[in-house]
Amino acid sequence: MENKKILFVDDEVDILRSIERAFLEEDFEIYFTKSVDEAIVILDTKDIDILVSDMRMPIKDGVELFKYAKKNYPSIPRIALSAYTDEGQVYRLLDKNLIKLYILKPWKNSEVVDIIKKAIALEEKLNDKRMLTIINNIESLPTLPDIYIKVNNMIETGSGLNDIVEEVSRDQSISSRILRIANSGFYGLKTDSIAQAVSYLGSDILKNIILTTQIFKLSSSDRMYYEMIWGHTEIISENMVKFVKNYLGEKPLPIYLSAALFHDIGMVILIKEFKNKYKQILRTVQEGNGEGKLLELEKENFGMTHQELGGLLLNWWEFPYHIIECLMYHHSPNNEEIINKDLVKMLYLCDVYSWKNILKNKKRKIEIDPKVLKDMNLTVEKCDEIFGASTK
Amino acid sequence: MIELKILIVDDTKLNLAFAESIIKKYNLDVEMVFAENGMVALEALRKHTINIIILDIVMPGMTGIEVLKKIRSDQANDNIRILMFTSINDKKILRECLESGATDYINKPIDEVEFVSRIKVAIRECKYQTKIKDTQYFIVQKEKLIAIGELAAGIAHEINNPVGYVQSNLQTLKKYAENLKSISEEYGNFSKELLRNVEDKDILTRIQSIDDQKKHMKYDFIVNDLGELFKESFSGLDRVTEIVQSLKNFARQDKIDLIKAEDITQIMDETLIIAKNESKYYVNIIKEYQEGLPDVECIRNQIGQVFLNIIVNAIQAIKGQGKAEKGNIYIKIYSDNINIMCSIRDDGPGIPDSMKSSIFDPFFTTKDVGEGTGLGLSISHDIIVNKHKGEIILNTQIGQGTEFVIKLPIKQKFDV
Repeated sequence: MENKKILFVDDEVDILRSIERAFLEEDFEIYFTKSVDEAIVILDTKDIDILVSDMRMPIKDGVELFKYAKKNYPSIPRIALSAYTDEGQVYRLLDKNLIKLYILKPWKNSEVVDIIKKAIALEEKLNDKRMLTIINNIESLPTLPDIYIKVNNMIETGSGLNDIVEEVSRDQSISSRILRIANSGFYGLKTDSIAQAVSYLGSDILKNIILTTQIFKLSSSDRMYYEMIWGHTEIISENMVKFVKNYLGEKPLPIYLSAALFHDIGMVILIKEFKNKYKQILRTVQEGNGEGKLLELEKENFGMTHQELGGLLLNWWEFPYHIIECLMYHHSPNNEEIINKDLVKMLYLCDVYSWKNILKNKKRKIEIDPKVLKDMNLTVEKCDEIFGASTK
Repeated sequence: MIELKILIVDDTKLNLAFAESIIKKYNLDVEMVFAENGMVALEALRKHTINIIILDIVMPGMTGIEVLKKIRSDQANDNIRILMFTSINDKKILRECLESGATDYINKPIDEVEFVSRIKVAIRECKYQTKIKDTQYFIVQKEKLIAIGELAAGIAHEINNPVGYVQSNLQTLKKYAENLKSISEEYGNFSKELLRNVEDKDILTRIQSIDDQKKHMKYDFIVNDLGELFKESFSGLDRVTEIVQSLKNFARQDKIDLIKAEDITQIMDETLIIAKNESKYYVNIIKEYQEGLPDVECIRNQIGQVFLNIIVNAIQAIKGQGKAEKGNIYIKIYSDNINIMCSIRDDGPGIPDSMKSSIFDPFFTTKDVGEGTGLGLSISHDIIVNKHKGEIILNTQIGQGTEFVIKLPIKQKFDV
């Protein structure tokens, strides 16, 4: 197999030199440059597989380079190598789908090499020919909804808040979803004004709400599943707030909400595409055969799981790996290939406990993966306490 | 509580006694100091921190007005409230007193109600004044921290770049060094083999000369020292990263720390374990915890950090004296069921007056360059005063030692 080509961009030559040394023993073809303009030339002329760039650079900065790459070479994974100490700044780039991943300075050589390798493996998985063939045969595969594209354009061209609010207010299901989320424990707002909710949620989350609301729209006969999936999503996002606040002592980041919103998107598509056949599987599983069985049955019947389907779809739409991994691995959080392990494990726990909330009075016992508990330094009792607490 | 001191100056013993009895009768919250003439009054002023003076005008030697002018000539006394004590009804003299800096006056002979009322007013004003001064101090302190926070974000970014490649290069260097070491060991073994099997004189002398060079360069030592060398260098870089992180704490608001009911004595004990390494050769720790202390709503890590900062400072102060015998640190935790008080007292060198006002300033340090960041106490101050709505009180005397009293409310009011 041909060596993968990586382009590293940093205005400090010393940084580039140290990275060159870190990759000395690895089989990559590596390009280095200290300017965004040169980086663009390299992108245009060489068949680059991965782009890694510093954020803060003189004249043209990383954001500009990532924007160019996203527009012209959307399939090249974009990774930020940043010296920001405030991860919030990097997360904003993830929320905007401008980067797929980030690495913070100072770094550990072995970790950087490992992350690059995993990113390549993930890309291969997401571009697996067999999977893509299956996906291409799904007739009800959603395209980006019109209203999503329209609002996205409005945001990018700098339309005023009022125009955007007017646009989303026309759609009853979107506007009620916006209010529900703004008033949920995740944001804790108390408002019945769409404008207030939108300005509070910010444009990135707004876009994700529009996208999920449109895609989750099911025919009226499937009302039950629609309610179930949204109910489940809402409980997960509540659980995330509990986990982040009560255990990590942090404020919940928008990306967590996005992960919760999208995490079962694959299920929705399977319901739409395979209708009764898939509903039958869901019923079988619900009757007591556990989640592992669901993935097996999906694979057996459709050639791929709802996890893979969701991951591929979001990759298509250029979402960051953080969210894609949450979609792909929330039932297998110990997978060695995961880059952002903590986020996937968190979603896994919140997912497990969402069923616990739903099945509170039923007999079915929920088991938590002991390795996840150990890795996160948790016990079942501690989890019960975290998720049992109120978000208020 | 603020303990106020009142100085009563009158040449008539009877007046002093009468004033004392009234103040006692009305339970006024002041400590009394007496003087029977101007000289004694000025002397008392030097010895005590006086907040209020009741000053007789007609006295032998220095008159009250002369004493008043003398006191007001020193800026340090600006905050003292001076009440003239007089039977004179001459408005001209009263005017002179007020223009020379008197705050108010009390009529003689003493009328109980008037006397008490005017002193109460003075006490109240003193308390307000202290409060305003404290608030001002906290505001300034907070602004300094915010300014540092803004700076810190920029500085941290700048530091992370060089630290980034230095750390990366060091990892590579370690790998290189290990490779070179193993190759050179192979050569070493090979040359030993040659020594045994080869008879060529030239080769044997060459090997001998290489071995001599090795000895001269302390080759064995170098090879053995490599591990330590890298370990120490990595730990140095970790420290840089840590300092950058601690700077960041000023700027960052997205971490919310968990306020929980905590056992303060447990936090203290944990801190003492951490400090043990630093303390064992230099100090004895004497603990005294009141029994049945209530849990305190606080952020565990932060309170631990404050304790550690203060204790490590105390240890270093004691260590710095270079005495033969060990010093002592007395730790006392007690509560009045509204607040919990943690007193950390050392018998070290004490803090000179000139430094008292700046010890909570960011980057203020008496330690050698590289030993401290100068942020410990200012972070502590921020944690106790701003984050926990508590107080941090400094009592210190040169040659006697230093005491920090951390006062924490048992219940926190949450800002939601």
